Amino acid sequence: MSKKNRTKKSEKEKVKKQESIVYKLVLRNLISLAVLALVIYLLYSNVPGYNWLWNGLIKGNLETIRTYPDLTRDIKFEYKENPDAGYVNFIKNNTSDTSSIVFPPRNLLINNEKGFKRLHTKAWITYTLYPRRVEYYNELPDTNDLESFDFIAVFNYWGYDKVSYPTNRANEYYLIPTKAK
Amino acid sequence: MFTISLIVFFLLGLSVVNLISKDFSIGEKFGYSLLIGIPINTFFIMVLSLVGVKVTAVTLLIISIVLIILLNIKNVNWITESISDAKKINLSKINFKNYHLVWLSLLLITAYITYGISAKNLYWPTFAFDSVAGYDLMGKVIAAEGSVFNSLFNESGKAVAGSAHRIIYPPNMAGSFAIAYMNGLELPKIMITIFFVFFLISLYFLSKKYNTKTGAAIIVFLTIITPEMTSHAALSLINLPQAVFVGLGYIAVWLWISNNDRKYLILSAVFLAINVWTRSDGIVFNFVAGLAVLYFCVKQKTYKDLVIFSSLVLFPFVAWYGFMAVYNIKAAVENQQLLVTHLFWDPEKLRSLWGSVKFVLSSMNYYGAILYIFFGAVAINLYNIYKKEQLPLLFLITFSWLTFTLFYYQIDYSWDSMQNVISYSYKRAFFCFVPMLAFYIASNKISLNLLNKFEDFVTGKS
Repeated sequence: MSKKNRTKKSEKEKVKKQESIVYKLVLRNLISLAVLALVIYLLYSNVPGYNWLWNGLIKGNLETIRTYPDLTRDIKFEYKENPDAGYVNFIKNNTSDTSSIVFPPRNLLINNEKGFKRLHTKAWITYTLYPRRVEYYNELPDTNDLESFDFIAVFNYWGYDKVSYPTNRANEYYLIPTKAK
Repeated sequence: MFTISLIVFFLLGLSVVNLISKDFSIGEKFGYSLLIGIPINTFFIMVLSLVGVKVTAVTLLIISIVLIILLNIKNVNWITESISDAKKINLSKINFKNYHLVWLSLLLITAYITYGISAKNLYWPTFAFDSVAGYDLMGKVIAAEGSVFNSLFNESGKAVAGSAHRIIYPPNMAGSFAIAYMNGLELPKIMITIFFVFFLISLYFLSKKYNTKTGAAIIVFLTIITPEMTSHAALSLINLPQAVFVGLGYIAVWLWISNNDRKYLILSAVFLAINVWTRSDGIVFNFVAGLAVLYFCVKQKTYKDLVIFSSLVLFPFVAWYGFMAVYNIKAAVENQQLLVTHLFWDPEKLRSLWGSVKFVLSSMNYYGAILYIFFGAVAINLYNIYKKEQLPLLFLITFSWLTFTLFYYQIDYSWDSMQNVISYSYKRAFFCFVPMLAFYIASNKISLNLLNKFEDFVTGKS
């Protein structure tokens, strides 16, 4: 056998050896990957929390985001926190940042039958209406001095009787100025 | 403006990381920088409030830039050299044989879950009650009024009704939210995503210092698939950020113990300091880590390190209580006694506590299978434990768990039922253990041996 042929043969063997190493590596990777996939599948199908994480938390929320990409912040907040959020959003959208608002007495807000569960928390309404000034009627130092505030938050018809001008009492939940225009 | 602030805070954090040691890997430095840079700024929010200077995005930027300059004055040559070294990095020399499909798949799944939870976080406005009536509210008001002592406190220093103790938590979380608001963002929830993403990066590179890259990927993967914890990456609550700092701090303590590498002791002190800068009750974790540090420092007679560690992990706690004393700040529920202040023995209370804790922790809905896998890992390592292998790591996990649970035994449940407190507070606070449990699962002696063999097998080294 000539030297040239011998070199060619050894090169071929080298390539073959290289190829077999690559095949071995690919095979090992695929086997390992299959084992990993099996472990993940077993965890996913047997552990309720993992199932919820993937389907509910990740896939479910990405689906919601894809379906409703353009919802406003207010609508999203209302989706999570209604009816309270709808009520404060109405007040926010109808008052300026510098406004001051009197809310009904806290016990009226706690003991309501309409499902409001946040409005009686001062910290919660302060956050949602900030920088507006908000106070509960029962916590005012002087309940006769309502005119130092700009608005009264009408809740379950409470509030109409607190102003000196005539009102039509048309809305159960509303916002009225403390002074006649 | 927000992007500029983040870049500057990143550089500030990077300067601090370099001050601890220049030998951290690039991945570690990248992960740690914002996790440290942002809390430093929230600390300055308190300092500025104390001296009566209005906190704004610009004042914080100026302070950060001045600090960056001061911290790097002596580093100019090193920075120049590092940049020229970075230019010489030849990407074609990366050996792709060292990487494999299992590692890549774990990272891809982790990345997808991170993307999903972050998208959720940024899509929904703040609605979690504790944040609306707490951290986010405080952040919003700090940003608008430029002070931690603001209109949320009345003339006698009492916090706004309905905020419980949330307004008077150390202002790391509220301050982070304030930074977002001050920079013109409509909502501050991106700060949670930043903490979460940089935590995962840090956890990976920190774990890689002790484990293989597959092991590090498993630790991150096990952490992120923990349902209750990951769900909090889309809420603007305080428990996940605390878990970030406790988890990283504890793993760093273990790295110091196992490798006697001093930079990890200082790094852990920084993370644990930020832990008590996030929640004061995190002092429980600092106490247990402090016991381990005390033991090893006395053994090695490195008392200076003990002093540095102790000072760092206590400083934010003392500083915040000092600030509250100066302004006479009080919680909205000031007359509520949270803890029983003397030691007592009540077997019925203990039994009831254990029952509630067991109910929460054994639920696979909240923590998936991580606790079961952890106990499995302990069981198969009983012989190694008997041989005193990795005992300090187990001590850090189990003793802090015990101390933390006894803290709940010490609570005076006259203001709420034990079941409620365990179902909400304990359940969330337990996040702090998740990174440690994941770390032990992949880093115990048997797992480490198996992972080393696996790495050789899958990369063709065996």
